[in-house]
Amino acid sequence: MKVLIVDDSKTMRTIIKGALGKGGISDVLEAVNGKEAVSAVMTSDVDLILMDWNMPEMSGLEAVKTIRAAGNDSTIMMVTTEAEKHRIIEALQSGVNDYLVKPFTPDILLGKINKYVGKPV
Amino acid sequence: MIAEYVDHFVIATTDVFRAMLNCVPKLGTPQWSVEDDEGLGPFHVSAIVGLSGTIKGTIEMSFPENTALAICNKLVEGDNTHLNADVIDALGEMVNMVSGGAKAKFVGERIDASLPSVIKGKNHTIQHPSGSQSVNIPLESELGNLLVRITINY
Repeated sequence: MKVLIVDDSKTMRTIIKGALGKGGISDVLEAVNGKEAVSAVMTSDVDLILMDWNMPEMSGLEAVKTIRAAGNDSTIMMVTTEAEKHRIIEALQSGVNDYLVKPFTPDILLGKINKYVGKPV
Repeated sequence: MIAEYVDHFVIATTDVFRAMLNCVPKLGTPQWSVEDDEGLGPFHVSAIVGLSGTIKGTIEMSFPENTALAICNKLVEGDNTHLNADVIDALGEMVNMVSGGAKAKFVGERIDASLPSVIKGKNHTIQHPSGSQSVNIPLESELGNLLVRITINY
């Protein structure tokens, strides 16, 4: 499984990458904003995208809309501090498959991701 | 009114510490912040997020250098020894998570949070708009002490 981590915080990318490693997932790409994420998705075969919301240049939500508009159906999980109900609904209506609110423990992240491991996406 | 909000930020801070750092900070006595031009003394670095929308203000988390290093090193299993870019990034992410958790607790309000900014420097000051009200919340944790300051603009 190839996972794309999209977050402007190096700290958060490191935390997520560490959690994925503990779950045996090592095929990981990184992007620091929505623009880079769109570019990575267009040039690599990504199974799962872990997408932050608030980032400079292009937000995670804009990236989701762009990725879906291009016909890409990779699984997208928002991993964000945006916890309000209207935000979650907005993300799901934009094509997000799953949603995880920060802060999280590695176990919670892996529990969410395990739903998609080994499944066709 | 600001006193009603203190719990939101204390709970959000505790949630972030518990999930990301596996420890629970001990709450000191919240105090009104009186003078903006009073330096932050032992707190060498402050991470700030601005709040806009139906409630406007800022949340700041200020750390002594030792606490900042301990938090960053625990988050990323690192060995940083000074306030470098990685530590600054970690502190920005901490205040980002706290602000996100807190603003979700304001039922019925529409609040947007800015991207975090970080200020460092011995005895730095943070100036707030006139008419704003601030509360300082001191916290102690096994990683060191820190100060959370909530400012609401009226």
